[in-house]
Amino acid sequence: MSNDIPNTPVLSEAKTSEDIEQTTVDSSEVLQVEDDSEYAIRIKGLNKCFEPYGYQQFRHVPMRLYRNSKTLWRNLKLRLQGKPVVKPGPRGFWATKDINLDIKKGEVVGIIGRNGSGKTTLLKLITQVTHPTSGRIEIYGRISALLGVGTGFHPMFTGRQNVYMGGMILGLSRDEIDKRFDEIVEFSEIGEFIDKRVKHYSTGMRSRLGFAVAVQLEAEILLLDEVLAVGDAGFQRKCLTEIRKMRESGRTILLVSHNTNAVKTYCDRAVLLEEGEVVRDGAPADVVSFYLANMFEDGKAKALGAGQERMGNGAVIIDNYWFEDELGRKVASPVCGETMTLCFEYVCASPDSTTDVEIGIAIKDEGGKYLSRISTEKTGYGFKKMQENGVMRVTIPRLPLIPGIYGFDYRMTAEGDEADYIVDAGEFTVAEGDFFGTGMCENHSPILLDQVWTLGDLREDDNETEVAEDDQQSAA
Amino acid sequence: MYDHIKPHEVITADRSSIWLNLYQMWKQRDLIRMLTMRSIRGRYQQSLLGIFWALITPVCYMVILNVFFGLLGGFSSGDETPYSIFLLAAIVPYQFFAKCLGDGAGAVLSNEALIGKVYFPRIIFPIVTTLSASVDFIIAFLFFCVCFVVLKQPIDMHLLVLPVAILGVAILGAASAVFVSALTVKYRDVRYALPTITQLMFFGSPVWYPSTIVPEKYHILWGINPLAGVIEGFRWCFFGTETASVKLIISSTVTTIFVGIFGIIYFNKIQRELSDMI
Repeated sequence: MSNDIPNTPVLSEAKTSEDIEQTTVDSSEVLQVEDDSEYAIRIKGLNKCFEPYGYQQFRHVPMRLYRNSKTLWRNLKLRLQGKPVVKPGPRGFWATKDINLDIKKGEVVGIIGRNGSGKTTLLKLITQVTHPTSGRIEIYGRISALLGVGTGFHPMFTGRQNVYMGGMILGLSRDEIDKRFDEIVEFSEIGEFIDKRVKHYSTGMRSRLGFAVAVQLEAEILLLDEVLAVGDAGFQRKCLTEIRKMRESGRTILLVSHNTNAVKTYCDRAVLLEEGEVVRDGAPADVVSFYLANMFEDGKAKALGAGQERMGNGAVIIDNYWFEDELGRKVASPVCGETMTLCFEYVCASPDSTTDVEIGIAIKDEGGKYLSRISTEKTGYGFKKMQENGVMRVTIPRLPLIPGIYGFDYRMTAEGDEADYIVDAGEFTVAEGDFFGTGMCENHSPILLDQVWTLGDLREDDNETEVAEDDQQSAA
Repeated sequence: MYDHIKPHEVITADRSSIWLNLYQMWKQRDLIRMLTMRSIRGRYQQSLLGIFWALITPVCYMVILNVFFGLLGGFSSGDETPYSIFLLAAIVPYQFFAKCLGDGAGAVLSNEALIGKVYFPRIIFPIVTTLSASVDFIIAFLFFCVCFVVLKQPIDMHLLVLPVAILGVAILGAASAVFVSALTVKYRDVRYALPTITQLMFFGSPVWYPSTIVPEKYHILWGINPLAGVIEGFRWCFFGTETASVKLIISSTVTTIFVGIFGIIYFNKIQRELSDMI
């Protein structure tokens, strides 16, 4: 992080004594101070602590006394009984810890991190929806934000009223919004629903309108939180196209997303947050691969379906799973385009009487959409004879999944009866790899297919197959 | 594109100004106007009589009070003013105050969806509540003026002070809305206590009795109830009787100013925590 740029143009009323010194030392830099900042957002030492629910209420009031007296009484009793006094645990939850970020104008910055890593809190702090516990944020320009689905919308207002309200909050005049209104409606594809109340909108409509307002009102800085997580494929594509357009027009964008591929493709820079701290900041590809590689501990067996409901008669159950590479070594995450072996440690209650065991794994993407199912049933691999315990392995040569995070459901049957069934049994990340052997990776579609391309003349059908075969041979 | 670059924003952990930022509110006037219009329209949506409720409620109040206190209880205005118009002159400001207090309690809470997602000065919410309540006030007030003329009440110089009296009513209403809206977020108990408090204020103010009913030496103390003096002052503008208590009016004015300042300071003090508390 380069915070120590000497000729920092800070706005006059926000100068710290240091800055004033610096600007007076070098007269050539004074000119730059008058010039607009090269930064869009500067964040220094930002902390946010959420106090536990109900704590604020007890801050200054007599209720505090009551609470304290109760604690004193309890401690006194413990002391009399000769037991150790319980110290109160740490109060509050630090959602962001000492965040320092300088975002330049025109930069598209992707913010990634696990759930609860402070991404949304960071955006909320920038938009002033919530206030920092300590630290400082400087903003150069107007901010338009889309924090989740259909946000900033008043459910009782119509779409039209919400559009105007959104613009007014941004500081636009009625005329300015009038000018952009038709574009917004057109972009959102909302049609005549614009005069219906937002509470009757579908999630998709809300997110479309929200995105349209955020984008079309032309604020210099755009904050987008998980906009790609909602809406259908068509809308997502539209969002991404729009983000690319805005990037070209020099707008500053902060994009919070779980979609690591979108971050890699559309961002100039990525920031990885973990437990409220910036762990990595740099080129998207590096940050994303660091993130994916560190999502899970290295190559250890993980408990299957931890915390999930188990169904089935339990004739055969699976406790742990892990991944192995081609050479049978345990790995943290399988690699795209390489051999993936998924191993399951099973326990069979009565091996003698359990026959005909079938297992099925349904692989899902981050959004929960099913991508593919691998099973012993359809492939004819069913297990006839079980031991008391052992390992089931399934090997997929040249893993055709793009880098990212995946989950799976799992179901096992013995003699046709359900033995064990867990929804969201486990998850894994696919690390980056070279599926096509070209050094390039497909980012947009979840499944990678082996493919052969040919170029031929426009001829009769019967000759075409021959040409394709020829080309295939020459390619090989 | 960076024409608007001037209004840089600096967010720090320092407490924001505790004073009312009028310039900021002026910048948001379009938003205030829109939210107010929306609130008025929303209030009477799907109601048969619509805006007429602004008339019906004070008239009903007047009739009920007239029957119970005037006819059965034997109360009067204390001079030659008819009891009915005497009542109405107090009911109109009282209703406005009660509405500000009642709606103010939910002003911030009911906008939870907005507060958690977008930022604009939160004080706009209780201000909008006051503005939308003042529409009802204006309608009721005009009705009162008509009654005043129809009943051929004498018009004198006191009426010149009317704008000041109305300002007093408005300030009291806005101040209560601002204060209560913030207080409710912190202590939800306020919501349950409010109906009782509003009732108490009704009986503790010279609505259905003239201020002469209370010994004059207590009038300064009585002024702690800001509504008492505000109603007295409002009524004095129209009837200008000797019976009006100057002590009460002055004392209540002080209380009103105090409530106003305290309400704004309190609101600004907790406004940064609002989104975390809701």
